[in-house]
Amino acid sequence: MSEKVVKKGNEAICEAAIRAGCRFFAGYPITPQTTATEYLSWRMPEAGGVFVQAESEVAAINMVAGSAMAGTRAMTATSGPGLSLMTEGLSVIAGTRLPTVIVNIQRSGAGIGSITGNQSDFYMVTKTLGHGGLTGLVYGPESIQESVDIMYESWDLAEKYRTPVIIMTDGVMGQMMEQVEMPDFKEAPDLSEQPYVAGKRKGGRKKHLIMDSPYFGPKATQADNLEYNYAQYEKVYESWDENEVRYEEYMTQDAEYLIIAWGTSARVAKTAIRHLREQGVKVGLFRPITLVPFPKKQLAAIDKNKIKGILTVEMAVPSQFHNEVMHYLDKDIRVEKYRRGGGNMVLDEEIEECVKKML
Amino acid sequence: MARVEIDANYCKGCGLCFGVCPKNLLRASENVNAKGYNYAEQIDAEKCTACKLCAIICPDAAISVYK
Amino acid sequence: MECIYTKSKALSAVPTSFCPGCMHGTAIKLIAEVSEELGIENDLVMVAPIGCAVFLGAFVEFDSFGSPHGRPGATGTGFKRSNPDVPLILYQGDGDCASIGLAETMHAANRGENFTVIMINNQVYGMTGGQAAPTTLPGQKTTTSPAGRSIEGSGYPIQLAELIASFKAPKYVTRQSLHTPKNVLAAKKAIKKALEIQINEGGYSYVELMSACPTNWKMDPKDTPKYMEDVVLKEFPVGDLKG
Repeated sequence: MSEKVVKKGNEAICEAAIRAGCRFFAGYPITPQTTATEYLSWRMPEAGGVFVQAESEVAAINMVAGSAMAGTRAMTATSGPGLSLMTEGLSVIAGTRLPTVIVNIQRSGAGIGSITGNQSDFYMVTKTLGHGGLTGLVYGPESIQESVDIMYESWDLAEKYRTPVIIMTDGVMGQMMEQVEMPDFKEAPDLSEQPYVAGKRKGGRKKHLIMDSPYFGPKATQADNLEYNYAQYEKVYESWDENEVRYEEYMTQDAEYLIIAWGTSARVAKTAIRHLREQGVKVGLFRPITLVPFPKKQLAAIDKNKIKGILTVEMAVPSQFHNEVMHYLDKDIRVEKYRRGGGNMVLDEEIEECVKKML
Repeated sequence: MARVEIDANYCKGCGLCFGVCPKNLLRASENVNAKGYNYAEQIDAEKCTACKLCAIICPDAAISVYK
Repeated sequence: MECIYTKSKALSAVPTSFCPGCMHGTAIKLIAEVSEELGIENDLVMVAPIGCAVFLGAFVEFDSFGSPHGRPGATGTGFKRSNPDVPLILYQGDGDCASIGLAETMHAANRGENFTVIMINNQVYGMTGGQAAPTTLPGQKTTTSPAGRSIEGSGYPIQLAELIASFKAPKYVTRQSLHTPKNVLAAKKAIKKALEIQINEGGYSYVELMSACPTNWKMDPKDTPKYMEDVVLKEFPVGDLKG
């Protein structure tokens, strides 16, 4: 039964995973993800699933791969340094096309960096999952509720497309508490007949050669099969541009100025927009919800005759999201950027100032 | 009466079986298989005791033993 | 005449891709035979490593899945925890199991995961062409130790079986060899015991199998059994270490 609760972001997204039928979690404690691992250490067994505190993120992601190959809805959660260690496994998961869910609760900086919220894993996650150039569906929710809603349907999408799903929250969203409506419990489907699931033969049918890369196929050589199969993957990715792009337009109807931002930055930008509107500034927000697929067409369609200026907002220095957006915007539109790095929050008053400078 | 049957397609001619045969009945054939290996062959089959040592040591499961 | 020994039905109709005299084939043959004897040939799942056995799945009739280099201990954990009734073998080489995957190997053993690790110890990296492994013998020449493995620079061979036997959780830890028929039969018995423990009572088991790599040892396969007996087994003695 759906219910309204007040919950911490990390706990809420984990609870949504349980309700979505997830029955395996492996993770390694890392700030600001730790409360997710702590929550699932008791909640997962309570729900009849398996919790493993892995020896490292390298192991955690591979445990998730193993569980997925047993036909289980499996997930992990981590933050930047852990995600770096997971790239090997992510590459394998993308190559095997294993439906899995990975939550990245972003923190700031390279190396050890800092433990506060940030959006600086944008490039790392959206460009490719580890080596090999493959990818998955990537979501950037702005609130705990949206995290929960995306998590709840993530395996449905992962299984539909046979792909990993990465949900990008951050230390801010992970640690704060707010009211959230929790969805009903749903049962995971029987995946035992899926080609990537081993050891659950029915009727004596044998499955072998479930490999980490698709060497096998209709072609004569290994190289030709890899090329052929990856071209099939590419078609799946391209279909997402048509069918899976999600974005939000907020107060854009009459907007003369636009803020483009994702995740926590977008949420702060909404506050700035409400203040600016009170002062008579016609400003709105364009917010990508899917980072892969990126709303390319929608960005390209922003009308230079209608929009006088655009401000991109992100919590990353050097810029990442800004550069990506710039690829698609009409080159005649004036674009400014406002970003904070090092784990600093973007502030609504600073966003207001940046917009006012463009007027 | 006993004999061994060597699957020439599986045998890679490594010769591990030569040294374990207590009667020295195994040797490399002058013929080669599709992969170019001089596969093993049995000589003097009437002396074979079906001890299975050759089949046990064979890494390629190429040897069947009959008794 | 009656057939008293032939190829196991659990082996596929494809000859292995291993070099002549490579004992990977022997190990896989034994696993296939044991699976038939235990009646699990339709249930067993094997995790294939990175290394010469990467195409393991092609040679057996079991389900199998690949794992990144060194990670079978992790993928195996995820798989078995989600599928506890399926007998599982992690088939790994010494580089996979004792070098790049040492953390995964040790933690899986320490947790007492309910699967069986079969570790093929041939003292070299075979697939990449004979580089030094964590198990390379002192003074042994490889392509990355052309003057022989130096203890000063590379340390001593890692005796993984002894390390694993030091943990409390593992139920059965053994080192066997594949260089003589007698040793092959003992190895088979060990594999069977390990799988029986996994199936009947549950618990971690580790079977290390001393194996030859004639190609990278640059040795006639026929000469490998004597070298193993005289040299290799002095560093890696065979026998049960636990259970």
